[in-house]
Amino acid sequence: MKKITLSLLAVSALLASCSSDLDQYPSDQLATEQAVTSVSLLQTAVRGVYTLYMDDGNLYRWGYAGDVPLYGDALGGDVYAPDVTANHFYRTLQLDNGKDSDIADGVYATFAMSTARANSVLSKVGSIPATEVAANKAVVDDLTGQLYAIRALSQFELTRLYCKLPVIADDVNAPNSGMPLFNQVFDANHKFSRATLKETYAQIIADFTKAMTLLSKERVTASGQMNYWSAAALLSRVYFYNGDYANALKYAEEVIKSGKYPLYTSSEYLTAWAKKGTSESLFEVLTTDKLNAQRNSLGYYTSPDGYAECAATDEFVAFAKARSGDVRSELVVEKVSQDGDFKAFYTNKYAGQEGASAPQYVNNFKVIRTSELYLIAAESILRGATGSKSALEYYNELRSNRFTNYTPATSVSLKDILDERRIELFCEGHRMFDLMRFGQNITLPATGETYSYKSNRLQIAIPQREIDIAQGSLVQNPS
Amino acid sequence: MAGVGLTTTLVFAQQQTVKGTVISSDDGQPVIGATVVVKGQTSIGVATNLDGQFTLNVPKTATTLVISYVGYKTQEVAIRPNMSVTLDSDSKALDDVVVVAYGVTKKSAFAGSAASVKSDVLQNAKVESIDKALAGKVSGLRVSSSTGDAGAAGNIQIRGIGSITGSTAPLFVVDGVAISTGNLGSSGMSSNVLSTINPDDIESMTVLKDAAAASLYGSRAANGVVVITTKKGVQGKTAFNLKLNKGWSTMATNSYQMMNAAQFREYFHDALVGYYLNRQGALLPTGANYGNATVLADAQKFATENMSLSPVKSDVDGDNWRDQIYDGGYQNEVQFSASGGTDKLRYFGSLGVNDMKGIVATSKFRRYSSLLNVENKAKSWLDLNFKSQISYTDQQGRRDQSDQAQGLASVSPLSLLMNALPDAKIYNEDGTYNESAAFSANVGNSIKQLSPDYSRYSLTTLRLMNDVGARIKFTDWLSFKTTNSLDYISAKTFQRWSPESLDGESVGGLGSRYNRTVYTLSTSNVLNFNKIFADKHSLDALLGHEAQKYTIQTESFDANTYSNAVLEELANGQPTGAKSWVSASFLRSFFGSANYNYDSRYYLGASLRQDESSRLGKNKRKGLFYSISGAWRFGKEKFFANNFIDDAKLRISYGTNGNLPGNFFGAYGLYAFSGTYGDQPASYLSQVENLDLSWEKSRNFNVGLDLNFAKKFSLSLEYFNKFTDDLLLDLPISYGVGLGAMDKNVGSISNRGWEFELHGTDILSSKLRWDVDFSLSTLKSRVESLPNGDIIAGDGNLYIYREGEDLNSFYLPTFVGVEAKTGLGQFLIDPEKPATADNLTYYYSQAGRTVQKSAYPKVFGGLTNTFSYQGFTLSTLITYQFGGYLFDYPGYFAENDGLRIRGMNVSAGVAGNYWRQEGDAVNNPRPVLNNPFRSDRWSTRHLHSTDFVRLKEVSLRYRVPQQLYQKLGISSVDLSLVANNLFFIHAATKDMELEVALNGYRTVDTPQARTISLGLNVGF
Repeated sequence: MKKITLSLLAVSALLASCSSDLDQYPSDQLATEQAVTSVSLLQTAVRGVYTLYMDDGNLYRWGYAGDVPLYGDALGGDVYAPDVTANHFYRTLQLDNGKDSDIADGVYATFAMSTARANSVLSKVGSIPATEVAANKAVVDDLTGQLYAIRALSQFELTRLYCKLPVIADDVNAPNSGMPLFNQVFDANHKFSRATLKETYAQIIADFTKAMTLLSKERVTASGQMNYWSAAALLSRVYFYNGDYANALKYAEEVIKSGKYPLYTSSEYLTAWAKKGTSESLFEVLTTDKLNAQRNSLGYYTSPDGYAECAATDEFVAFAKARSGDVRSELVVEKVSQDGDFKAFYTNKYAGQEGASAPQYVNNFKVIRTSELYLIAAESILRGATGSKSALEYYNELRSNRFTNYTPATSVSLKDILDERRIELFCEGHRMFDLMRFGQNITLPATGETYSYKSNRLQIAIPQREIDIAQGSLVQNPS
Repeated sequence: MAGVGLTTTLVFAQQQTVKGTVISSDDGQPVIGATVVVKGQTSIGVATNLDGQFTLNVPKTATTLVISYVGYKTQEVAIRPNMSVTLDSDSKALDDVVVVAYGVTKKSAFAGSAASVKSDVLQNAKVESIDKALAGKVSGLRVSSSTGDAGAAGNIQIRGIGSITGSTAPLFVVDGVAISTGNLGSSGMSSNVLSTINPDDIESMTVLKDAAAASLYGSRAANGVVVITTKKGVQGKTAFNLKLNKGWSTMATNSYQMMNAAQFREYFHDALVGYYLNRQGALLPTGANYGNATVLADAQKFATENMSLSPVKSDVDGDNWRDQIYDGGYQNEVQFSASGGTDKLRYFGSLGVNDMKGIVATSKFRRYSSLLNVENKAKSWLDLNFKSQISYTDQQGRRDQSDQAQGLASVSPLSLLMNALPDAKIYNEDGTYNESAAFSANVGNSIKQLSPDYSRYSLTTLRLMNDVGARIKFTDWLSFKTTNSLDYISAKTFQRWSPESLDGESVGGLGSRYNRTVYTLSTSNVLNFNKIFADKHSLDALLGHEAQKYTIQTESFDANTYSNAVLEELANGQPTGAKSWVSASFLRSFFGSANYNYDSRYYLGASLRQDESSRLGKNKRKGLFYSISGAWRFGKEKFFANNFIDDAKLRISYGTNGNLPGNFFGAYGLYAFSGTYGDQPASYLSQVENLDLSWEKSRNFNVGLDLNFAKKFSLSLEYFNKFTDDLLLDLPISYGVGLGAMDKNVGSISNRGWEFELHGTDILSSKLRWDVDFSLSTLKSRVESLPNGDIIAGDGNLYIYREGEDLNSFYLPTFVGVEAKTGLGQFLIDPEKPATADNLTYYYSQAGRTVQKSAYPKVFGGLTNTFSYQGFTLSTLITYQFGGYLFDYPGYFAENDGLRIRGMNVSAGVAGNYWRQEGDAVNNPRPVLNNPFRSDRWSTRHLHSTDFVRLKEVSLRYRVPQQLYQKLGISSVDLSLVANNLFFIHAATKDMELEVALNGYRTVDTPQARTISLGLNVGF
């Protein structure tokens, strides 16, 4: 009896196993404390923050995919939807940006989560062995700098889309006029509340400034990652929006003078868009055949064979075509779908990357490029800042690379700059912000209504879910 | 008197010793506690022990023993020194033996709530899996499947909806081992793991409903437990059984009827009119040209002139595409078994083949299964048992919508039906496919696209369930039982799109393999105590330990750009992806229970279980679950002696259960490494840590009254109240934390209701035997508390969970109806306010949402009538339900008000039921091509009542008289004719399958089938 009983017990005991089986871990994920323990894991984690800008499962639509890069155009009055049935970008065009809208939720999710990812990784740089950090100081500094730069950029995108531009805000010190400051790792139950606009921009400026002390100055073509120059260029735009033209000019000139990101020539201009890592591209978001926003992408929105929801208005076409010799007007092309529908003028900036198998889906959005810095420099000087060149010189330098047989202008006005921005940056998300800065009202083709440049309708509402979660501490935008 | 007694004893003092074993003919198992008495001298008797054995000293003069046990026919046998008695079960007996947690009990002695279903009752369902076979047979239990495809996943719920985001499925225990269930499909085709078990191998199923019955299973039992016993060998000469079945199936309902050619063209014409009027500002009363007669005349002219836009070119019908796509299926079945043995060794072996074709060309299911049960009495104190249950299934199909994600896959049968031109013929005159027979040029011909050569999904599953067990008997009242098991499942999905197919064309063909291996190791070790003290005090108790490790390993491979259209395997394409991952979970448990009864009148029971699971946060890994129960069999009280009522019992129980998270790793803070940026790997924060993650806890109260009366009837009435809190919710957290949500234990729900069962046995007491079983259940499932506010969930945010509202409540805009004046659909802008003029809109986009009807039926049940007469047995099952609603997702496409008519056909139900002129009172708005109002979008318009009374099963059996074949060595021949889902006796909504998924979501998948089967069963 004993032998049998014992052998039975032995089998059972073996199956019963020991208590260590109570600790089971996934095979495709690491515990947070193990996730960033070497320089190479840090590099991987930094890329993981950028992924939100393009592809993250359900959120892919709301990074630099289609609606966000084109938001300033959608609400800038220069584009309309030839096809009103697809109901994707058309919703953005119709100002469907209320507290329960997809865009309110999606943009907040994408950019707030990217700050949280950056904060999480920043908090873990210390878990890399000190000797390894010391041996790779330049690399670790650069990666740390990128995390600050991403945090700054994401905070900036949120602030410019959900809040008033500081230059037109009634009071930058008004309570809740800015965004929550996403500047540290937060507890899961954290109740966020909003800072003032001034505090928010101070945070953005501080992060870009900190990033620039760490980032590499080396140019890496088409890396899809930010460096010193990307941060400087974005910082220039941030100051510009704040009406700090001296600093806007300072950082614009620093990039321009470095010579690392020269302007496209007029012959390059038409082909640069299909290429990766072109000379003007200070920071572009990587897309590939595998990772892209598919039908919610720039290319699909701006194609008659896609959703055909973003074409130039007649007014813009007339404006563009009137500029004789301007290669940029050649980039606004009349197209029609294979079925003969949706005939209109579309931008050719997003016709697709060379070599992509589904080109409509694959376009690396250029978050900032050198042309804008020339225009910032010229406008800043016109608005009183002192530069190493004159506004006219910057203006002519840009235009000489945009016209065939260019005759230099002899004078330049703020109105000229606005027009220049309108054509140069068409479908790059600037028009609404420019009109606001210039105090001009905006008429939207989709609704037919005109909105004051100070209208609260032009800002995206804080998503209701965030307000609910914060249980009273987070305040909605004025309606 | 005392002296006389003494004398009597002395006179009969000459004794003999009789030994014997009593076994059950049902399962060959020993009958424990059977009463053995001398005929005519009931004072001389004994009860059988744990092995069904008895030893009795009887007077030499005694000749006959009477052996009885509740649930079995009483038997008289001649006395021999060593006896073996087989008791036949009285299947309609008022006091069945029920299999319960870790053992068996008599129903009369059971204070919990459980229902038993025997093998023959399961057989009538003619479905491939045992869970689906339970429909209508157990009170409080609901079964459904979102698709009628054989092998597809099913859902089963006991006593309501136990969770919001967690599992609502019960635990399945087969021969003492908790097995893995659920959906092992992938790539969009669902597959029910339970279909690996051959219903023919099942002896009985017991559904454990309340805490007293189920708490002993602890953290997995909150949704109830289904305890399954497989067939065991019966002592005696080998009995063979051969069963042949042949069945045919068609669609059970008149679902998915599309407009014919003339109807469609008329509708299209009217949609063109609507389109023109809309353009001219003549559709809305506010329009500039509203009511303008010239514009109205122009619209008619415009429509007539533009009929060339209609995809349907002729009023003359072509082929009947619906009949060709849903072309009907078949079922073939062969089952062979052998059973026999000696008192030392018994065995049951079977081999079965089930071959089914669904009612669409794409759906097939085949299963090969075998079962071997061997029991060995190795020593007088040692019983061994070995089981090997092996099956291989092959399920063929297409992507289905069981995940309830939006979309109508372009090659799904319904999509192909909607795409078929009603005026087109399938074949050209030369026998080739008519390639211009579809709305979409890409589809070309729906029948062609249906071919598995173009697109197919298959899932093969190999499952081995092997058990080794032993029972050691220390004394008559103390024994130890160990059960050790390996459950191995290999599920391999293959997905193939030919390079010439609709989906495969753009990628040059696609092949994908997805392999999942699931292995579960279990051990269960239980010490049993069972003793009667001083005749009237009966105590049984157990103490146990269990451990289970569950591992799932997955590999996936993909290829596209195939070099040819013939060869399917991935080797013929260019590889595009390879992935693998492994997950495991571990559960360790200790448990005990004790049941005491005094004189079979007063019952008291208690159980306790501690579970520890790897799926929970470190702070909350251990959980304690308990139950207490009591019963009073007042029918046995002297004061209750009553001619009408034979037995009566009041029982009450209370206890706790748990529900484990589905996510194995929900408690950890994690970084995922599956990301990519550009073409480089990327990692990111993927989960926030929650060390307090715990199980959902439910508290169960049950009270029941059982009455047996008039010798023929038994009745039971029960009330249950199950309160579940610490719900596992994926709770929204601020995006600033890094994620949108995390798993937390928050909120509570309740399920309460009444269950009524009435059974009548041999009611007529004549040659015509009539048995009846009736059940009625009511259910109220409600959200009790959600501290973080409403949860809006499901496809298109269709459902809402809100405090005080029903579970599975629909959250939709209110469709008021079609305005008689304009013919346009109207919605409430603010659904909380009445339908005043300023609160109505034609535009869906302006309509607000609110809580609408809920999906689950408030009352449901079944009625079985069985008539037997001279070898004939006729049995009918009627099921019914009232108070529930479905959301008609296919209706969103098929009733599209002109929006999609250039791309697909329209439901036949719309013809003659849409607005054509002022004053029409109809259900569907006037059609408008490119409809700008979107009255087709999700609203109460697509909610329909699921009230029905259905003739679910009819079976006619005939036992051919033995004298016809006795000489051939054949012991029995049975013929059967079984019909399932014959028709609705009452249906609140016509032309629709009303048995949809349990949450009321009607998918675009193939509806239930009506089957007719012929069977032959030969025993020899």
